[in-house]
Amino acid sequence: MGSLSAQKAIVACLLLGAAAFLVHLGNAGAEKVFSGTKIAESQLVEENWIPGGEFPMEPIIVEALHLDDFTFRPYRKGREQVTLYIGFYHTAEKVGAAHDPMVCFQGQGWTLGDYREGLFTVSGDAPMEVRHSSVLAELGGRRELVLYWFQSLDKTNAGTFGQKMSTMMNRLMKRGGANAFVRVTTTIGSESREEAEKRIEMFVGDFYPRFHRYITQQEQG
Amino acid sequence: MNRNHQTVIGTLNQRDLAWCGLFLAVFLFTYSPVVQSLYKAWMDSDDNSHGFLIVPLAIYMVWTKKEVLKAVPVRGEWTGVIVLLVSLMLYVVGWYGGVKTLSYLAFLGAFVGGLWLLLGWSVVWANIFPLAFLLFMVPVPAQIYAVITGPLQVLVSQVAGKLLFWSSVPTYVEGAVIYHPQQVFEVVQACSGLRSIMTMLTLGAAIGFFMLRSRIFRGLLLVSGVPIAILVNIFRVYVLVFAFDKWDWDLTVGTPHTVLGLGVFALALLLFFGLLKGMARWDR
Repeated sequence: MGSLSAQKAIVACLLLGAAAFLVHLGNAGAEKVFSGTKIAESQLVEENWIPGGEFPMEPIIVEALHLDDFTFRPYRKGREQVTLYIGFYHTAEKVGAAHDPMVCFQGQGWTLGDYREGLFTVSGDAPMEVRHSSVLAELGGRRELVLYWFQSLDKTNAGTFGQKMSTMMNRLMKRGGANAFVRVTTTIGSESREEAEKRIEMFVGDFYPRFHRYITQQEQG
Repeated sequence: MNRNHQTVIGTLNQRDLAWCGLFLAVFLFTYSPVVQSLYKAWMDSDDNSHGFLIVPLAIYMVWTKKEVLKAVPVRGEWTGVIVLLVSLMLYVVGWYGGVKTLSYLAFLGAFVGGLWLLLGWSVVWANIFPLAFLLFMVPVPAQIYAVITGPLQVLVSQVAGKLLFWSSVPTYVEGAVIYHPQQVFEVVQACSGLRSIMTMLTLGAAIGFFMLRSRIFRGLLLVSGVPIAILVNIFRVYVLVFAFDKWDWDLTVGTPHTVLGLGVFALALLLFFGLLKGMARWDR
């Protein structure tokens, strides 16, 4: 004599059916794909910073990182110099494609130390927060301060997990999926880490408001 | 009349099986987007292609224990609906939010919850190993993948570099890059050994289930896959650079690279089955 409960089976099927309805409902709407101007055609940094030439990136690296767009060039303002790298992705599907420097820099032979997380407040149309990570990198006697963050539309995150959460919230609220990995590096000579970080903060102040407008341009209508 | 009559799996009738069949059909329909996504993940990446084998192996595991399972009591429990409900919520959130790993885990969670609800915890527990084995079909998330492969690349390069030094091969290692006077060898992500580790872990779990009785030995066999995979990968990098230095052979691309990879994998299997044989002798 069997004793499988019909009641339990019906409850299970109803719950599954409700989930199926919600998921297939969600599939009905197409994801917003970023279709703004290319980074190379957009003036993302204020004119008081003089851009250098783009550093070449091998096609195999562009493919490995699944980049939709990118920029990788130095900027100079007086005696201050930084290098900006942006790996840009047009859809939320590609969140996770960027590699955390804490992982990939070591593979290139860099020694990393003094990892920190921090926050810049940048003035723009409204005050904006830039949550970031930074680490000291050394290779062959050269010391660099590497400051980076993971951008998900208008939110900055110090790590990939935060970016994943921000992206998830954006999708749940039917917002766009544009995301980016932003890295600003500067060589440390005889100065302190704090002085190098001030230099990067100054650059971010002259870069982020325009970048924020760039990445959210489709949300602005 | 036997007032102590208890239903066991072996006494389920056609009506009961029909309800199970209905549950399975609705379950697969609900999770069809996840199944499609998994299929694509297994097809698109060599790192995940072992996923095709997981469900058939899990079914076979259950099949080999069918005589024992027939006597497992069946008593559906409402506790299962909590697991099912939470899994379905995570599925919807994960799917809407684009967090595929969450959806994949929710797929497995909902299956366990459904089994628990319809057939009871005894049935779930009796099949706990095949159910846990299904975790191997979930692709490793990209962020975790990067976190694991980075240090592996460096480890493999550093140890291979030491071996090369002891073999009088002139090299200098920085991170995951081995510098030879005539060539630069970079241990890229695909060569980190993670694919071998996943394969060995899957093999270890499956073979341990079929061939060992002791849970301790099964656990040991499972985890042995990790050091074996790492060791043979170090050996592979060592051979690659050594052969270049001594005989000017380029084993980094094409057929020679594939043959080297297969040979090294055969070595890994040799070590693995040697360990299994040793464990089987002690496994009484």
